[in-house]
Amino acid sequence: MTLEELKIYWLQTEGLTLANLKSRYRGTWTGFIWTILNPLIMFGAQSFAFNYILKIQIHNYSLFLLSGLLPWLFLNQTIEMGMGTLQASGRLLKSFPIHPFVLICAVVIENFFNFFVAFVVTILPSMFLLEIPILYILLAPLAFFSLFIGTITLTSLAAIANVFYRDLRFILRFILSISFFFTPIFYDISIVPVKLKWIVSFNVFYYMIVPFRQLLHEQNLWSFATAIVEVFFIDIGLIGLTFYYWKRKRNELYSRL
Amino acid sequence: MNSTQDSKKSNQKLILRGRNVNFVFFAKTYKFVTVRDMIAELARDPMGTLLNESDRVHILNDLNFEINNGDRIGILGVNGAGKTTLCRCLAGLYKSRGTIETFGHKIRAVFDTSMGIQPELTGRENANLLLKFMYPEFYSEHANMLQEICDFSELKEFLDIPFKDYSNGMQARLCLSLISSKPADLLILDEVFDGADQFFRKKISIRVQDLIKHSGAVLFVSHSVDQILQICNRVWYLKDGQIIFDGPPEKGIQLYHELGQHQGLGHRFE
Repeated sequence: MTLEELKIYWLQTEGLTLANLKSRYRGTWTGFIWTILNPLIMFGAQSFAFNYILKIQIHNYSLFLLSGLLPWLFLNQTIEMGMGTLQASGRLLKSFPIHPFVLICAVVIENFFNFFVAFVVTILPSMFLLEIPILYILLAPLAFFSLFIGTITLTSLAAIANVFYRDLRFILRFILSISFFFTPIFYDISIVPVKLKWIVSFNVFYYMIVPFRQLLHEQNLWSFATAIVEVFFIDIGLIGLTFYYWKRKRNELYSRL
Repeated sequence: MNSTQDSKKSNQKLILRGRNVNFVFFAKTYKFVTVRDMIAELARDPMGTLLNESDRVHILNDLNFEINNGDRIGILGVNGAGKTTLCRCLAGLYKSRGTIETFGHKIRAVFDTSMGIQPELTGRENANLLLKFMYPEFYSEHANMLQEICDFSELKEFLDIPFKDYSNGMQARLCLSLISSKPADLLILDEVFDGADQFFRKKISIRVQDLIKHSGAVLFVSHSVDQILQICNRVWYLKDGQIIFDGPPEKGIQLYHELGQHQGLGHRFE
């Protein structure tokens, strides 16, 4: 792929993302406000249940929960939303020279924008209130970037597979629902029994969330660096897997659309 | 070498060359429509499901061809002969086996003329978005092109209503105006005249012919022999994924009439 091609793909993705946002929020601010309110309401409900009813003993639990819940919601909602992208755009993909990844990237960027706004509205003020050092805020783009790449690859894999298997949407939605309980989002990994820790170690979602937690809640630079390196290797593996799957299934994918 | 020979040689500049182009679909893809089907089949016959060679459908079979500057090639063949698949391979949508060399030439392909990207957005906004996909190399000219396309389509105030509310004819007007905006080194038009009303069809025909005139080479898929005769100077006749005729349009059309009425869908399972 040449630099010129990359520039073209970027311009197309940018145009499509803006069109998606315009199409979704045209004439209504309620839709946009809802995308911000939705994670906040989820956070409020879970914070109440786990903090005040189950009384989970974690220092500064609200920030702990928020630093895991926001990336999780972004991952979850993007995969669910992006999974049907190729299936729904079959005629378009067969009619015009549009690279399928441009469509997927546009969906991920659109959700990423919502996630970023929700993050700025909720976490940033608490960071200032809790006097979290500026260095941690400056390192946040690394966590965002690794999550973004991971989400694009997972969404792409789901979107390609969804073209071939009609019931995958329901199965994946079910898997994502139960993954919430198997991913240390509202509880700390330290309370997971040793013999069950392997479940977490095979959970790619967890690796993408850890950098946010290390940065915002634990505020441990060494653990953050380790988490970023781990997620970097996972992202590389997922990129390789996505391109392998795309290359292998490309022609069949077009025929099935 | 005299000037006539020079001119002839430059006119025959190679735009695209295909060598041993093959295209195969794996029929196994169609066997399992759901994950449940796949699991059930795996449980029933695990070794067979995993190890069996799947049926292959040979859509294009070892094609060799050259497209030169000035060629206006009509592709004829019955349904299922491989016309659209060949065009999609040349346009880079499908990945074929063999080699397709384009020598840096720009290829523009159109397969549908009633398609918007975002049905919720207006016709004008969709045209603006489609420009980014159809003409990325003319980025700096998009604003002028959009204005010209909107004027040519004569949709006027309808340009600012959502694309989803357009009739098929209105969608075709906008898309045809858009795809005929700029020439290309190789233009691939796959049954693109359908959809527009008869008044607009006359207008767009003139514009498409002008586009064809200014493009390096053209591949034109149509079941209308009149259009092939009007536009093309060369015809490929495709049968069972092979080019069985490459020559003057009149002879190609004669063959199409002779073979077409006896030919059903090709049976190409291996």
